Amino acid sequence: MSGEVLVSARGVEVHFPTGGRGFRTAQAGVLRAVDGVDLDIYRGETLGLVGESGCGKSTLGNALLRLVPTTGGSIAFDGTDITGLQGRRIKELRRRAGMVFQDPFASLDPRRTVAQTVSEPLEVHGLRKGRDKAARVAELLELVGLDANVAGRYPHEFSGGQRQRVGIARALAGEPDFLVCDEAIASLDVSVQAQVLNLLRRLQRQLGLTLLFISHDLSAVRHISDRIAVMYLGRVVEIGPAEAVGTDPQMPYTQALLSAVPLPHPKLERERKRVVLTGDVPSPAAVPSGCRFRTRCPYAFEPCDDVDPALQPVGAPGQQAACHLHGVVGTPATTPDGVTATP
Amino acid sequence: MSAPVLEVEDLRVRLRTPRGPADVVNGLSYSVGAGETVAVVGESGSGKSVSVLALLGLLPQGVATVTGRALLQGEDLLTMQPERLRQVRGPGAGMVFQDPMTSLNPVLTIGRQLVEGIRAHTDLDKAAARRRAADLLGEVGLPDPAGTLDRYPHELSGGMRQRVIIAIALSNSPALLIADEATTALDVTVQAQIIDLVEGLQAERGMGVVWITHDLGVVAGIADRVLVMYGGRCVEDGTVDDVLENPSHPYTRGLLGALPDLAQPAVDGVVPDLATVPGVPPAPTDLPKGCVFWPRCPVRGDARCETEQPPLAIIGSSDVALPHRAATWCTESPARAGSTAVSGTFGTGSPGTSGIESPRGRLR
Repeated sequence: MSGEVLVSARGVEVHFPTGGRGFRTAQAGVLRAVDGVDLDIYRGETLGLVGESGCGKSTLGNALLRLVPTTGGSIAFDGTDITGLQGRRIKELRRRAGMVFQDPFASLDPRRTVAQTVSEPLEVHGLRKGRDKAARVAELLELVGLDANVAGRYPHEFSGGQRQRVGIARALAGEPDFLVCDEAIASLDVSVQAQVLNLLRRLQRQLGLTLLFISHDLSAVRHISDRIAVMYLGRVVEIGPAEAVGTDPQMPYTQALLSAVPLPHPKLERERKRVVLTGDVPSPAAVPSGCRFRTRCPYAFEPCDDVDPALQPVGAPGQQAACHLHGVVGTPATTPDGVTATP
Repeated sequence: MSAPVLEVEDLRVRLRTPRGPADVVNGLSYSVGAGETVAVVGESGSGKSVSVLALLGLLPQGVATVTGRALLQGEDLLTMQPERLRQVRGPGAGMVFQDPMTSLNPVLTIGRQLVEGIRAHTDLDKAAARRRAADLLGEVGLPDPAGTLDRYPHELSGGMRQRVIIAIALSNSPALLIADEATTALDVTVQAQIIDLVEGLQAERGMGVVWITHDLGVVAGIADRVLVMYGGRCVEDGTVDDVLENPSHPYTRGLLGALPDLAQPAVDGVVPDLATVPGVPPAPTDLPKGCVFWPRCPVRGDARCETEQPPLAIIGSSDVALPHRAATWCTESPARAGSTAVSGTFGTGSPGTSGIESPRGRLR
């Protein structure tokens, strides 16, 4: 991992209008799927993005690839602002930044052979022709651990794990720098998940890829990532080295999330002290004032109601958390004096 | 322990499919005591769901052939008349299904769906059944139980819906609760809430619980006893500590090794690669002869692996209430010399390097 930033997000917002009833166009409100995310992804690293359903992690992943339009903020890819890219420039972005989707049963065209699927990016970007193309497809299939002679087969002939390998081969066809894996192992069985996780790790090292690994599965994220970012209700609430976030989280939400992950060790499970959160995640269409987590936070205190916490350095080097327990930092600036507490 | 709530003996399910007969469950035996939780673990296609659907007569007739015995409080579910079976579903056994989004009827209010079940099995009038329904919703921890009765499923979150489904399953105070991947569709924080809820209710009511899941972490937290299924067979069972801390069957070990583990410390800042089980589970229409796991097995330490089916044999001590059993030819000897010795020899004689590469390290 180098210190060079490949993908940089500043104040990124993705808001969706929530319409009124029926076909009336009057807007009833705004759904804040992603609501002010600052994020740097370094070249050659694997950044894990975790959060529960509805926290905006997939939308953020899509926004970084310009697959959904942003409504605010800026995203730079390798130094170029991509939020306003058009035409040929966006096509070049598509080659350099790929996506592996969640459902290997839905993300492959059932009527196209593996070779057709994997070679499509090569054709679109005019990278290889004729015999070169077939050779490249064979090379890609071998890279992801499939036999080159499966090129003529159709998706229905493969198992879920094999299909996911085809999806990865397709994503790698254009020799991308950056790969977003959105719940890429969620629909696979445990033993097959392990195969795909190992494959992604190997490819990342071998090809020097930069990976954004989006998942709700903290164990898998901890396993594959160099750094972990935790999202809650449209915001990154904690980020830092995987080891630090995984063992010494500084934000109460991360602590609760970690303590809720069931571990396959009966003795450990019995002794464990769980932080069980009450209630459900608030709707992103009605985000609480101040800290978004305060409605479920066991430690919520006075400033949490009105001060929206900013990420601040805390814990291990490189670790940041958005929580007033580490000192009240954030907007608005009407911070009460002298309010500090320790977790 | 008193008489078991559920006793399953040699359960077999064969399904008629276009590709020929599929042997989905092949001789499953277990029992569930009052207040006991038995976890049935396995990957997709291992037969874990079908085995409980078969118990309650929920498989399509004419497609499924179910044989064996399944005594629920002494009565055989498999030979029961349909009318009697209908009476048993509810007061005898309640079931919670996986997907809270689809297992409620979207066009009926929560109250109506609860009252229906209560009135089918009691003489309560509508008003009394409604009061009972509201009590149940309170018991499963829903805020504003009376108000929730008049709401529709789409107005509730996934966690709340799963609570409603649990309330329905509990509405006739069943002796046995069957939960089929009941928390799989939920977020981890909500999953923790639901597991707490079921454990609390179980302690209160003394139900037997059959918890079907693929998540070994959930198993570690909730189960007294674990049954690992593969290819329609039980390949290993025993107490949760025996099976998870000291797995004996190569498949159980592979499954545990393949699991990314939050509790596993990094070595020099790097988390080691996961051990993998090569290949995919067998199709139930085409089960291998011999040990059901041998085509994927990295050990294959015995000549009988390919030809003869290993019986579920006791390993370790046999004079305990719940002996630890495994169906494999590959255990070194009945009395094993501790788990470290097994871990050390595990993997030798492996047919390829792509097998289970590292024995799982124990931690903390």
